[in-house]
Amino acid sequence: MKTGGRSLSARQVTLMILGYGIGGGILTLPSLAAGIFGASGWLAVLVIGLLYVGVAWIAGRLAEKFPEETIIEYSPRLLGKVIGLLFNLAFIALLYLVIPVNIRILQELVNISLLPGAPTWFVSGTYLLALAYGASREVDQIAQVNELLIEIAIFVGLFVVVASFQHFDPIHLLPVFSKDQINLDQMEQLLGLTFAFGSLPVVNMVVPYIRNPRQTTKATMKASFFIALIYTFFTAVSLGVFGYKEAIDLSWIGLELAKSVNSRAVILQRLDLVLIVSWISALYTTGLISSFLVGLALGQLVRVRKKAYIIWALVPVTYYLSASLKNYFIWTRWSIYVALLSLVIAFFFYPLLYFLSLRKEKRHE
Amino acid sequence: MKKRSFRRARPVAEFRKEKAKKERAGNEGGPPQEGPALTTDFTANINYLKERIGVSNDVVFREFVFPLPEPVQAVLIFVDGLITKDTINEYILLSLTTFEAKEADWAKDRRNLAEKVKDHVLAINEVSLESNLTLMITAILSGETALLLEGEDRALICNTRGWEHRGIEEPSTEAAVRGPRVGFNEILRSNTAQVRRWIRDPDLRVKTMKIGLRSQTDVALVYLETVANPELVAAVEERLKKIEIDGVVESAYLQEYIEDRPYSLFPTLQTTERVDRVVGAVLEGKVAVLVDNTPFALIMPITFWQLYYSAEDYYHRWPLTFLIRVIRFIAFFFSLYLPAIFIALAVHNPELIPFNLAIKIAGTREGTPFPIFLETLFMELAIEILREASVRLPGPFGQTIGIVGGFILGDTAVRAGLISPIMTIIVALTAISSFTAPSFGVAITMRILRFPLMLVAEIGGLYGLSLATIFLLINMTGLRSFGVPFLSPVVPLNLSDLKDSFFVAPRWAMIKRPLVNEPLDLRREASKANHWWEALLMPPKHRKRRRGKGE
Repeated sequence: MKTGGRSLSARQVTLMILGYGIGGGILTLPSLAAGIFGASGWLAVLVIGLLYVGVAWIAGRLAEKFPEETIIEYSPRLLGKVIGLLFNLAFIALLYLVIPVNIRILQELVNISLLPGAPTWFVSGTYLLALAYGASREVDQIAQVNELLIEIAIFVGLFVVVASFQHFDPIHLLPVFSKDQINLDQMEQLLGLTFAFGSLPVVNMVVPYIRNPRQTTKATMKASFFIALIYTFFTAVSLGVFGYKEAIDLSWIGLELAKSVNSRAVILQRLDLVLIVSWISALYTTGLISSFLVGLALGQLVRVRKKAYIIWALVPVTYYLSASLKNYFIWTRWSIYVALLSLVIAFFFYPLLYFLSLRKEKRHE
Repeated sequence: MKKRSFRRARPVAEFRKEKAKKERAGNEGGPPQEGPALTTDFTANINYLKERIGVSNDVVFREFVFPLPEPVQAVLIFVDGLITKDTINEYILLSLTTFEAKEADWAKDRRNLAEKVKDHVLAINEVSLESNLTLMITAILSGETALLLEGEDRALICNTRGWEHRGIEEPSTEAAVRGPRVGFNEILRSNTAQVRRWIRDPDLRVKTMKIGLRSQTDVALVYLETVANPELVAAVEERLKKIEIDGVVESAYLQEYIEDRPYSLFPTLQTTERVDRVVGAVLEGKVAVLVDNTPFALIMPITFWQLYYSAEDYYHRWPLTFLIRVIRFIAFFFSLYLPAIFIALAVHNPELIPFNLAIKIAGTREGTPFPIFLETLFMELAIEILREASVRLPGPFGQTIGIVGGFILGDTAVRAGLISPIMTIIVALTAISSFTAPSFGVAITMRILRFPLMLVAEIGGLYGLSLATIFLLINMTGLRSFGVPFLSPVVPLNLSDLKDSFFVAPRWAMIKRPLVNEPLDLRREASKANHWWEALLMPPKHRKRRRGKGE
């Protein structure tokens, strides 16, 4: 078994994309979807998810064209030095800004349930240290940690969703795309909705570590498809249980769903805390992969071989950013720009880079 | 075959090697690798040997005359207690002193006398010629007998090894309800012979080397040449050869040198004194290292999960083994987390405990003077002290200590109101769970880890425990056993090897050896199936025949 080098299997790459994509967003996604599309929010999530599957094909193909390099390395060659540099900075910013958001969500989840009143320095600080410690490891180690944690989180999440079927009413999912319920003027929320799907940068950064780069596209598409499926299922069940009107008002709808499945207490009085505990692992995988990719990308940009130095150097900045805003929902409003950046990269830069790579290939022929 | 990368045994190995070389250069006490050669001067040779080893009273120099037409002075040198006297008396001394030269033409010419004696006189099965004095001394100190002849610059080394030793007994540390009742003993040759008895395959290799500058301990690598990955064998051999210490008292000495991560709490090699376990491992493509003077063999590579498998697992029918393993892993979870989870729930999230249970716990804790964390800590420490005391005392006393400590002390403490009854249940369940680990090494690791987890639970509750678990996971995913990921086959997932993990497939479905060992010969069973899940649908042929005959 190799450490470093080409050590990742296609399955591990799929799970890394899933681990990066599925995080705190899933706990709030149904509310956002309900706010914009009403009862048919689940269908909108499915449509957006399938759109991203299309982009995943492009991202995967692009990665396959440069199996020895990350997007940071080949983008300046395709876009030119200046635009390439600007793209790289935007790309790294996109990866990096996920981390403080991720920390903020964790802080709030912990304060809401596990440790009410625990100071920010303690919760965010310890979590940030755990992120930096994990992200400074080798890529195969990160893939293994992600492989285990994301599977546990998805399993517990699906258990909650399936268990909450007892309160599910299919009528809540109708009518489909009713004009009265759709509020497309809420651009901020719509962008926030799409941001949840933006996990494709992972593949363009880890392709040099994939054992068989030819499987990259398949792995990427599979991951995007799973993300679309999981989000749709979760949104559909949340809307089916609460109805879209109630769902709009529930900030942490995922937790409310877990509370709804509380049956007669046998071992534990409440099940929602079990969801939170397992969801910490989902949050952690997102933060871990982001931190690792930021370290890797910045290392390549400034030509520092030891990514651990960069990761640890960013810890105080990340802490400051995560603690500077009052709560996650303020972050959400602020992070619209980040979501917009994610959209631009996914729907404009990926096709552009792929097109340029094809043209370059033709020229060489 | 894929290229396999093995990490270096120790980052400091080079440094140690250099240091040891420097020390040896300035130190004449240790035996150098190259020594003086024997000369034709018989007296000088004897004087040298007497100076080097003759000071000790257990080294015997038996001088006699070899009755050739022109009598030859001879000496037998051996260590009393390490040889079989009968062999020396009957097959060496008797043969040499009663030799009738008249009947042998070769005796007329004294040239190459040592070789002629070897071929015509000595009735010993293992005899070799040695001209290096240092190697000769090593052979004598290992139980062999050296025969020096006047005028010869080569000595005859006869294998006369034999000493008092423990017989083959049932292993005391790895008891099993079903399975062979034989374990290794302290004699290396006896141990390798036992493995040979089990595997009568000409491909079974036993490579012996000496480790320990002063102890010159025999260490044997045991593996199947056509099954074990040659890179694995080479890596084990290389790491062993790099070891430069004065002595190897037990296989644990080697273990610490050849592990991939010497600072890790988790053992990344398996120790066992069961012959069947070593045989099973060798058949799977692993390498076993047997060390003279200890019954404990080392097996490599291993995974974390294998530390929780017992040799007996393979002797029961698969549904029972499956159940036993599930129970064992639940016990593993309890032994590591139970006190910590109790602290986290009781201190930070009592609302999670069902109402009736919470009331009961609160009722039993009324009047106890210590906070929950300290109470748990004291009880855990008490259990550890009891455990240590019971191990140190002789058998019956040890059991008495366990009973007195466990029942009387616990009961008295509860009656005195010092601890709550729920705490005795938690601590007892944790202690009993920790005994289910078949590997002593991993059980100790769990015992050590339990204390920081309790502290983390006190400070950070379930959140702290989640983070601590993540830390633990990161650490475990970084571990390798000779290149094999420690958590394999769960992460990275290896479907083929899952047949022998939490889940246990029937013996007839385990058609392939574990892939993590990257064996040369993958198949262990003739079957049309390519994977164990396919083989599950193809029960053994003889069963079909039986059914066909109407049984």
